[in-house]
Amino acid sequence: MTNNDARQLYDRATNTEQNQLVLHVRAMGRSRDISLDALDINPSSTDEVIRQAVARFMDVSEAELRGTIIERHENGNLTLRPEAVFG
Amino acid sequence: MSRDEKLDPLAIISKLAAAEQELKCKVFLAPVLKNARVRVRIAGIVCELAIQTDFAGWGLLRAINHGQAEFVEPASPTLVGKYLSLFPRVQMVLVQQFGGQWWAVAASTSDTRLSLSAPVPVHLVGVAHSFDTVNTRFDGSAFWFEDVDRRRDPAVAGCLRKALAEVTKPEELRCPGAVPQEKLAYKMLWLAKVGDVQAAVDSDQARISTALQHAGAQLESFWHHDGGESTVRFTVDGNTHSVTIRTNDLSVMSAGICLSGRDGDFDLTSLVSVFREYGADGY
Repeated sequence: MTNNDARQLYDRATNTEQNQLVLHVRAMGRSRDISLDALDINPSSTDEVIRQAVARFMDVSEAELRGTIIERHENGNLTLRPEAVFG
Repeated sequence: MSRDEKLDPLAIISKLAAAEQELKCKVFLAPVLKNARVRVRIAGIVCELAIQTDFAGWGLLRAINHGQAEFVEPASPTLVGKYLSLFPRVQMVLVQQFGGQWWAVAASTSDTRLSLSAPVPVHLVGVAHSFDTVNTRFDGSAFWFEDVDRRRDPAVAGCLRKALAEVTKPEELRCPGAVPQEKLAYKMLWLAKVGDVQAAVDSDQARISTALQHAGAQLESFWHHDGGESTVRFTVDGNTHSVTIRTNDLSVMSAGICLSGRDGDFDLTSLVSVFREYGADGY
């Protein structure tokens, strides 16, 4: 893009100001950020509901998300990640 | 005309022709823009007239024949003021000229008369500068500059211009009294100024910082290594961690704690909560 297009600058300036809650998915070696709105979930949704929504959105089976855990952060964001094995 | 009366096309054409003929004998006021046709309302219908002049501004014009007008003289400020007062006033924050055209954002997002979700061109801007709050008049299709809003503290616009000259990052902007729309205009011009090159330089830092912030961690520093790797130093709940990641996708190469050789299962964002779990479990 050019730096002299007012509408594009506006879009860039306002997009970065958006403060949507986001679910970060790290699964199957892939990373993805999906807004909670797009998944039609909220931070208090159950783990099962969240996994179902992610599976639908990413077009994967729920079985592929087994063994993942869901973290709820203080800022309202969520993270779905593999279980960690320490040691 | 009542609803029952039928429209008579011939009568309308005749009426228009008479109005246009009448206009020929009269001098009228209109905004003249470079390389643009003059718009004038005749008998309730907006018509466009071509004009040959180098003048740009509020002018007194005269229709000379079908579809053409000639420039007579510049219009007086009093006359322009009377004309503009016919239209609703809208306050805007001037952004900058792009391609010779001033653009502005609405000064307030609470104006219920008009909802602007994007910057708009403001025509015939007089003496004004970026970040000035200005009064404009909206004629239904375009915004026309009226004057600079004297009630707005000019120190705010001055502070924003000074900060922009110093390329101060929007998040580090300190201009007391600046309202959100002025800050938005500032961010637009900051983006225009730093350009894509700087944005690309900043992008690694922005991506890393955003990835950490997602889970409530804070970036302290990072540095690149050969081979597309970076070391990232950040804090989680007051504890500092250093990890090695692939810069392109932020996947973890070495978490700095033992993850049974499964470091690569994680990326920077997901690693934050792993560190929390690690700390909570007392490893």
